[in-house]
Amino acid sequence: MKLTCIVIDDDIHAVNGIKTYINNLANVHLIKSYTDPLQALNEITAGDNVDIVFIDVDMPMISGLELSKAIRHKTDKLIFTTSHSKYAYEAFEMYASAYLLKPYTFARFAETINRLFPHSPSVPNLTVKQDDDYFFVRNKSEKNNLIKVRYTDIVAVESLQNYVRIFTINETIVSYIALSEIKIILKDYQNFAQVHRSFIIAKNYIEKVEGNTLKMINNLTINVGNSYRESIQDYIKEKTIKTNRS
Amino acid sequence: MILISRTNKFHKILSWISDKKLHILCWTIFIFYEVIIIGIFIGKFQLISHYITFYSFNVATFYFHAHVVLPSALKTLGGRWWRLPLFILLELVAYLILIVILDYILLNYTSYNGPFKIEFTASFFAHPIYRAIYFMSFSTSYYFLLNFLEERKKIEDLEKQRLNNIIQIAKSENAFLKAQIQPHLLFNTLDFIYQNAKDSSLVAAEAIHSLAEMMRYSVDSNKDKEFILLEEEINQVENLINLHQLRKDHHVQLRFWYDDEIRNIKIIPLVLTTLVENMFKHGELLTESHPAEVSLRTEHDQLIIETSNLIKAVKDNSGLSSGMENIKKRLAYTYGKNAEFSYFTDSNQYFKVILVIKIR
Repeated sequence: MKLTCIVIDDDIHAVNGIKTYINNLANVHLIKSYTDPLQALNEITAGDNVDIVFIDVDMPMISGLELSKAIRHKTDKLIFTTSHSKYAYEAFEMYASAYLLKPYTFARFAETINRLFPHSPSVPNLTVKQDDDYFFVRNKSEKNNLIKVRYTDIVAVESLQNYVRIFTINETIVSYIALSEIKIILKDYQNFAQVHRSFIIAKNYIEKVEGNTLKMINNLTINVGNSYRESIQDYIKEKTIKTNRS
Repeated sequence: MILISRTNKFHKILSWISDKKLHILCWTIFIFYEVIIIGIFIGKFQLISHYITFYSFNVATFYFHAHVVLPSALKTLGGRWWRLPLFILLELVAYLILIVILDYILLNYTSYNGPFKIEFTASFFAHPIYRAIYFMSFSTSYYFLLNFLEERKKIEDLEKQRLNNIIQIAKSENAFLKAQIQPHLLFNTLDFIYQNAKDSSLVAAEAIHSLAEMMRYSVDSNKDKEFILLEEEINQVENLINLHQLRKDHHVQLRFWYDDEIRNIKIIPLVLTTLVENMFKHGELLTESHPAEVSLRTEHDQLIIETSNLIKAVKDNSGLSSGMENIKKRLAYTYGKNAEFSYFTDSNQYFKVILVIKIR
């Protein structure tokens, strides 16, 4: 079951922006978008219930706040899209589920949907055939040309907000892809583990363990985050040779 | 009516006493000390009326000297050299004449019948001259003390005024900037540019997004609050790093270590942001083998913020120490002894900052 949604924003650029975001999510389906709030009011009150309504706060004729009052009962979740945070507090009073401050990124958009619908996580439309032992990414340092990355070559992946830096045995690649997406690509490979909010590593390339710091084969040093400590320590314990001598 | 005016008078006297209580206390101790010591030393005491008369006279001389003679002698710079000795001489003569008159009254109009007599000899005048100079020198130090305190207060007022002016200017500049452009228009326009740039230039779109986030932080202006969530500073720093990454083609080698739990700790604003801004300004962050680091962690109820970065080969330390001093002052003002702030350059040419704040 796809989530159904409606977009209301008097700015056509904003509508187009959110449309592309929605198209990038596998589990969300856009019913209709409106740039005229009065038309939206008439059609929504007469139409079927939906899962999400995205609504701009500042619109002519009828404000997003007033409109939201009238249509609140027709939608499960109401998300305000606004250009400034002054309205955020009022928005929550209206039982809005969330708000997105313009301009917002796809990552923030997807994260908001995921938070509101935890039972049907919106996986980005990522298509990678997992059978092969490699994948291609665009390398930003080389004019966005595609470059082959072998799973076995990956030492670590560092998050740079919407980009990642992939450290392989031989080189470093910067690519426009989020760490959360890389995590999905790597999820079937037991050798990879997230050790920090901004780092995924290949466990077989750990060279040294000093307290909470991992030293990788390429001299990269990584601090292990609190919430990842236990699993990584378990792995290291498992791999540590034990002797009976004391 | 009479009753009212009396109580009024009484109130006036009370308030005068409380105003001058320090003076009264000092004189009481001084007189008590002199009378007792000299009384014991000589082995006899004078009549109370004598003490009252002569001490009143000497106290009057003290204030006359400090408030009339010295100010009028020193008020203008020119002629000090002749006016000061002349005035003091006149004062001394007047003092002696009044002493003789007082002695005369005491001898002839009171019940005094001791061996004391008025004689116009050097030994007769020795004592009053000694007393006059004694009180006048006390009075002189009092005069200079008063002057000193007054000067200091003036300087403090000036400094306060100067700081107030700076604050006012900063506030009005801020208000001016805010009034320049409606936040609504600003962010809608940035969103418009973002939407249009997204398809043609991802980098431009991202830069606009980070810029918008940073501007929102300054427009929303939580900075006026004394404490903010560390989260707000972390977001600001992430945006700052992102902007620099985009401009430097993602070659900036800066690791930002923190765990999400730390976001809810409260801290004074613009400390973390300023530290990271300094790193970008003064640090060499493009060498892969020497990454810079910012680390936030908690240990035993302490928030520890550490930064470390290679120093630029061509040094540009303009503004560094003043920025650091500013942080130091603000930390000391809010946390006092609960914050330790230190920065230094180690032998490997790394600039390091360590800030430890006790939380609760």
